[in-house]
Amino acid sequence: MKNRKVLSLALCTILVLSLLTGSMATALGDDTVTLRFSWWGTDARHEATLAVIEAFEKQNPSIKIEAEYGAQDGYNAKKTTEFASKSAPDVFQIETGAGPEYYRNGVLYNLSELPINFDKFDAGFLQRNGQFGTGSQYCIPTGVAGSALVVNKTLADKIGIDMTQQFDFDQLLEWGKQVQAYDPECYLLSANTSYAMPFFVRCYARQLNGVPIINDAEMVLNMTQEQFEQCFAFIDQLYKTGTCAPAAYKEPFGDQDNNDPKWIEGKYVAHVGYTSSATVVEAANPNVEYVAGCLPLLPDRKSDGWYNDCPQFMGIYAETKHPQEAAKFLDFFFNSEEAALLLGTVRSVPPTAMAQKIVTDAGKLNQLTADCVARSLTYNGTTDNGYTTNSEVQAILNDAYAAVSFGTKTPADAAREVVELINDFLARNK
Amino acid sequence: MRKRHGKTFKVVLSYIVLILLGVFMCYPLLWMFFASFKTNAEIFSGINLLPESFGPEAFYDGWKGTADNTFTRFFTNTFVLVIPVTLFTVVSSTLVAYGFARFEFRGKKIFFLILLSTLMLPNAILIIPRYTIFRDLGVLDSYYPFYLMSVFACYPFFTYMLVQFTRGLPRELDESACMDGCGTFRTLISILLPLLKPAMFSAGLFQFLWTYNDYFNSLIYINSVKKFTISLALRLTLDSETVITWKNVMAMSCLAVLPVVILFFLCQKYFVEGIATTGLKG
Repeated sequence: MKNRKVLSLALCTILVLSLLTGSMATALGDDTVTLRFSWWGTDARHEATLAVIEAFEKQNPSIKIEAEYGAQDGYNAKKTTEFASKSAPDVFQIETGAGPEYYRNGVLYNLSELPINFDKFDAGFLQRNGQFGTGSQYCIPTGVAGSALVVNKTLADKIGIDMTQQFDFDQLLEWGKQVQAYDPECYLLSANTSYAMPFFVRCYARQLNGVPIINDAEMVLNMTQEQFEQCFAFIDQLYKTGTCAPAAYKEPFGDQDNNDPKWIEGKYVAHVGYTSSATVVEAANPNVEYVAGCLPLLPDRKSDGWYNDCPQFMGIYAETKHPQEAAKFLDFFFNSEEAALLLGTVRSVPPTAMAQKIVTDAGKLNQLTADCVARSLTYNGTTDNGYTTNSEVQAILNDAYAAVSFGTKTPADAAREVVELINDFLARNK
Repeated sequence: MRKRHGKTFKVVLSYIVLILLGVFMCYPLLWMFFASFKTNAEIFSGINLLPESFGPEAFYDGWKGTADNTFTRFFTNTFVLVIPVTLFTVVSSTLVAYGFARFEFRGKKIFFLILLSTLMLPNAILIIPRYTIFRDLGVLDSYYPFYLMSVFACYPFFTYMLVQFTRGLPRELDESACMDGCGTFRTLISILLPLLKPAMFSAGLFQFLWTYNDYFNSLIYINSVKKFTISLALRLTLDSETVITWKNVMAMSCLAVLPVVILFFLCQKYFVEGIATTGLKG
């Protein structure tokens, strides 16, 4: 009898205690400022970033940094949830395309008002990356990056293809046929929708008109339906001629070309991707030699289209309670030699000349990545970040790319639908 | 003689069918186990189930996790989250179920209707108001959202299951306990609890499995990596800009399913009993 009484009393106490400790945990606190910092990335990036945090905390014992890191998948969605519920971290990494949207939504702190030293950056690079036309810095570019064609030189040489000399889009189709004739199991391009759409739609558009798909100032399409049709007809040809591996085959691998057995076996001539994915595909099949390929151009282009930007941004949350401490951390992150050495190239080639020198001297710069970046610097295109890279517009363009590559829609139908959907999006956001 | 032969044939046939079905259903698990020993190239290009060589390095490397967060921490976190949640859920759901099954009070039908209606709502809808409530309470990025929900019997499925089960117990038991001088709480503890055991066990087991496997809620409520549970930790390394060492992920997935498999086999008796006696399907 007595035991039971004790048991029931104990259960009730546990219930009450658990509630009390819940509320107490939030009431307690001391003078230490705790910042939350979130990013996505690879294991190497996590380890390097944690080491920088440790170094910063050693110098600033009154600031603690809570690390929130993981994979890129779902990162943007989680940030959007946190903005909506006003619970975003104080400092966070930002997908380049999402930057303008975050700025418009007012979730980014104006970094020009904070004590961050930007002297080590190239002024033009800062202006193109993270100011969003305001003249104030809202995001800091974490490195130098761009689109890339990573060429399997071993296979290219065997077939007799040289992608290191400038070529045009139509040349890709000719080479595609040549590769298929050499071996029907081989393809010229390993292209997945999420990397190939910016490559073959957004850049194609920038070359056609010299401007992004959407005119942000007037909220209208720069691209006509006929131009979309021309672009989609080219994509249709990429798949019909076997230049790109069939879309249905590539789909299960998502954007991870490195998991594609054909890539591992060296059956593609080139990977359509970014300077940041070069080392990943290189490591997936280290048995062959790789080079940075040229990027295709249209003969009658208004601009090269290809541009150099950054792989991600860093920003501070507009609603942070500790902007000064957050600024102190970012200043350390980008300007201290210790941080530059610790970070190496985990966020592509570093953005400042100082960090680039430190990384090169330490032998941490991957040659293929450096070559891809150097190649992308030779083109004169400008970024299309803005409404063109808005998540909804990206989804519309990705769907159209997928539909054409799978052959479920004709280029004409896809073009009509894209124009309708983007106009609808623009009307809603005016 | 012929009859016995026929019987043996039937037994052999049914065993063959059962073994084939068993292999078919266990194949993904077997594949996962053997993939722990394969290189990426073997996983993606080979069709063999067996690896070229066996070695425990994926288990060592995988266990190291990322930076200073090893799987020791992730496993500990998971149990610190799952065990209290399971206990609280069983206790609170039993209390609430007892109230609904045995007492008459004003608004009982309405309350029961509300309880049932929350059962019908998809989690995706409930998560928004819950998230804002927990944010206002300042308990995000901790396990309190999980504890609080279980302390306050916010799992209507278990409450409903226990209500149905308690209704099936004869009221005469309560009445005789009352005549012998038992109060309402004593009646629950001494008379009904022993009889409710199978249902409580199955509620506990379900809750353990569901919380252990839950990805969505952990993803929403927990931010800091040092508080990550197994389900979040397994996703930690799957970034598109890296070469994923799949065998490490597979090795850790094998270890992650172990506690659940062991628990299932240990409590199989209660599990089946609980499901059978509550009339619950699936």
